[in-house]
Amino acid sequence: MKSGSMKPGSQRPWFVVFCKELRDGFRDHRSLFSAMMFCWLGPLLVGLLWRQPTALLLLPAFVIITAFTGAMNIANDTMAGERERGSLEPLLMNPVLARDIVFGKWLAICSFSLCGVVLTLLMALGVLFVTPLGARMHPSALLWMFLVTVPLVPFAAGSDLLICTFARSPKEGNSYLAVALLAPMLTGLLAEFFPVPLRAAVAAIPLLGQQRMLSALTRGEIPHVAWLALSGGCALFLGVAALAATARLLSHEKVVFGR
Amino acid sequence: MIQSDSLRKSFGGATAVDGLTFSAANGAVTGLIGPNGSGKTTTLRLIAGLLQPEGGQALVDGMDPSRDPIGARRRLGALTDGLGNYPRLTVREHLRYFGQLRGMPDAELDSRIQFLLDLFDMHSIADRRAQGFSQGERMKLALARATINDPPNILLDEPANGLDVPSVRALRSMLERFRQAGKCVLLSSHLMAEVSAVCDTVVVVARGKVVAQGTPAELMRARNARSLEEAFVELTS
Repeated sequence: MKSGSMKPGSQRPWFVVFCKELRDGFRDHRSLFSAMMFCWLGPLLVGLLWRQPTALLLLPAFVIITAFTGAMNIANDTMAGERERGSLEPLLMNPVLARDIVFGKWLAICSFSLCGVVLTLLMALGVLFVTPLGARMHPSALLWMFLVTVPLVPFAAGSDLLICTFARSPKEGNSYLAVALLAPMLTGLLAEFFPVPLRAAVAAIPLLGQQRMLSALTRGEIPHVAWLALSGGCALFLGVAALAATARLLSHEKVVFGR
Repeated sequence: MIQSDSLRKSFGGATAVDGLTFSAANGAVTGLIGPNGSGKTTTLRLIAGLLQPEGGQALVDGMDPSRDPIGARRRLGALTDGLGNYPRLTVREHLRYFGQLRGMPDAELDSRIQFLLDLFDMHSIADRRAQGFSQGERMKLALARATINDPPNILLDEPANGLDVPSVRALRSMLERFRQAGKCVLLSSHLMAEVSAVCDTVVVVARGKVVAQGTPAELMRARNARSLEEAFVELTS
């Protein structure tokens, strides 16, 4: 049997890793709880501030942040945790390419990140129904928000995975991820204080492009499909680039065994 | 069969493996023994293709793991010193995960899992998550995982660490099975009594070099020692 070929009836290695990481991730109840806190906290805050004319402007930042918070716990456990408990070495000793392992992990992280975005938008839908905010923003805008935010999911998963590759333990990984989380937080806040008009150069910057489009949606403006495609394409490209970089790093012995 | 031919590896100027040459035959258990820091784990990692040698080569059934790591790993099962179990997965799920990664079809995997649960007497913990396992249970799980696809070559880094008496007996019985099945087992250990009991050949390493090799009886005779431990101390001091 040639290297990389499969026995009949066996599953693709990336799919095996993906299923294991999903199962493992769903059993990590503490991480799930903390990720879910972010999902309902943002829309809840928006609902509590419904009297404020700027209440809806908080929603874009929270939707973007949950793409990252949904990804970070599992990214940390699947990479830094794998190294700390000593399971990375036996995993890499299997006849499986590092890129298959990383791809399976990335897909699982994407799933959790996507769940975070969907839960936040569902909570936001509830807020629109129970508060007068529904009169200011049509609930269908949430569907557009979903389309705008979905390309951030592979970007968040890829960047979090790449960051955690450098961490020796989940504790170290958490400290890196906390700093990295400032990027979506600051982008969301600064873009509201210093609004830049949406144009090609702005749409192409992940986070900023999405933030501007989400902000426009809270005002009832539907983003142009070209901006949507451009921002989505750039975020997806960077997410895949981060994935490729992680797979490459895992073939470096200093990264696998470095202390 | 596992061969190491003038294998060399250093880390930041410190030489870990310095021209190591030995071979581990099929149908035999070969012990790789040496003091801490003598290069045993590095050698096992070079054989598994996880580290790239700076000189020489390792061969697993004629395959060079530095050129074809996937091909070499297909013919290799390994127990690493960190054990590395997943706390939220059960024993059965661990074995299934690693079996699937090794490309085993489901039917074959089911019967192999059953066999390993029998061999290591793990039925009572088969559906328990690994969190909170004793050292012996963790070791048994890692051993079962390393041999899930019944590979022809097996690397075992300190396999008897933390095992209780019944588990040590299960390990010995497994090593005997491997020997009879014609498998090549390369085992690193600090436990001289264990090495004397299970190894056909012993390779003694110190400071990354082979200082002696032969059967335990030959090593004791050559150093005029009453035990392998005494011969080991003489050879490595």
